[in-house]
Amino acid sequence: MTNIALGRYIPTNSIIHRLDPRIKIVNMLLLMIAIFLPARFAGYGVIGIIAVSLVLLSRLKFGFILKSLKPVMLMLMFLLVINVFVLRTGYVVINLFGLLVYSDALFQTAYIVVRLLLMIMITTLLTATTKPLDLTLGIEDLLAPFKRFKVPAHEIAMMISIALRFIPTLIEESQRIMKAQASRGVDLSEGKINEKIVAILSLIVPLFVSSFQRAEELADAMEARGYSPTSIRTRYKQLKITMKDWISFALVCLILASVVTLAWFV
Amino acid sequence: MIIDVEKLSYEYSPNSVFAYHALKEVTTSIKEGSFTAIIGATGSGKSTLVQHFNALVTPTGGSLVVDGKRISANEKVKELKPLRKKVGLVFQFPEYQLFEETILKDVMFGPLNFGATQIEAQDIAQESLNRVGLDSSFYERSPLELSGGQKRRVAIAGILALRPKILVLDEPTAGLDPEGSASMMALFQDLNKSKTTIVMITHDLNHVLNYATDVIMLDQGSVVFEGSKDDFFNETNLHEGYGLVKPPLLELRSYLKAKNITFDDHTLDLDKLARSIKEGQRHD
Repeated sequence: MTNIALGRYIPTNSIIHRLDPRIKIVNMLLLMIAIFLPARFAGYGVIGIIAVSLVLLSRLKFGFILKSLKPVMLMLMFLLVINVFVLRTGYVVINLFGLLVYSDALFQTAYIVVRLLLMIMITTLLTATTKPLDLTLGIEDLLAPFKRFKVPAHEIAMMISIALRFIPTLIEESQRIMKAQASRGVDLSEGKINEKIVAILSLIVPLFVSSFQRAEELADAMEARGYSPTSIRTRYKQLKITMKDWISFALVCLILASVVTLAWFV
Repeated sequence: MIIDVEKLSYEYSPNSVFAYHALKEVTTSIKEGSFTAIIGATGSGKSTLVQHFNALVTPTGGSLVVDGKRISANEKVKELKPLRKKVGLVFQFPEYQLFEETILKDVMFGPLNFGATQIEAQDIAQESLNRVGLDSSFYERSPLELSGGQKRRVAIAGILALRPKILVLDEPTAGLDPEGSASMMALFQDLNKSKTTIVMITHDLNHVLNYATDVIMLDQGSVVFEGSKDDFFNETNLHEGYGLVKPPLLELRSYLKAKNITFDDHTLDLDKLARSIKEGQRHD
């Protein structure tokens, strides 16, 4: 469980790490849009090259990115099976003991796989190179213009940062409880269904109890320090957009534009 | 020796930026029937070491033998259940592991997992609850409505109900009031007298002085002392420093020495100390 790669910050202090979080978020959103444009494999090629070079720039290991893919592997397999059964257009590629596998089924699956791979690469790039707190500051700033439409930007950012802050704590806590219950003979990997249900209950109930307790304590601690979401707050960390941020933004716009043209003409 | 640790190493998140050596080639042993205290500063590897004793954590290097069962690095441990039943491990703040609707059910949970029948489990649970000082009026109450100290008792009863041969305790008195802490320690001493080997992590040297027979001291993942309690307090200065508080009895001994009063300066027992002062004065 300590090896969860998805959404973990990796401090390598590369140039990508030093970009402004707001620009990084916007850049990620633009690249996401580019991924969803129907630019065929040519478009994906362009984005793929960009994504790979970004990973190299950020000095993250490719193994780390691939690890983030693990949780979706099962879903992709499932998708392939469904596609093989449902999509019956194009030409027959293989005849699997009477089951005809059509080219479109394989193409369609490959499409989705590539899309997901790129999406995960880019989102992992954002979360692995931006400290969670910077990320929430960025989100808060980006949501600020919507305050006029009664979007509670600060509250949303605070909620996200609290949630992010407590993920490692909860993982630690659940590991501790699992170990404690294992000492009482709980075995999550073996046993009949009803034994497994009890085993899972023995983990979830204590986890809930302590989470509620922790939430209450946190609320008290925040109130004790005079926290109020409505009052105007200053910030310890001031975000500043510099030249390199604008350059990165311009480059991403350029990529988006080229993918749009590719989608238009190809 | 009931537990033999041989060159045991443990590394958290190996091969990553977060890699951290919690234990470095630790070699030590625990005598059958002893009351062994494991001490050391926070982060010295105490908790990691004791979690090896019932194979919750398996070594990344070296091995250990627990009551005849060998656990080695890079080797999957088979038949964990008998080991887990033999070595009862009480975590720090064990009250967070309670989850059943009633206290009796929660204590029965362990024995049932190890294959006891309902009736057997109920008998053992009642006995264990009585042992920790909770009478029948508690059986049907929810564990969540108890006070912190009572919850801790229920959690410890839950482990005692496994009838372990070795009882491992990770700071069992943390956060308890002095009275609750004393009665908890008396319970462990009682269990020790009825042949249960006790291994206890603690920061309280006074508990070590009053209850332990042997001491293992860790510092930054290595053993810095291993031996009897008497040797620990009389032959070394390890009890001073390392963030530990000197027990009152030792403070008294240094005070008496400074005042040039003759007494047996090796005793760790308050009554004996008092008697030796009397004798010393008679001689003068």
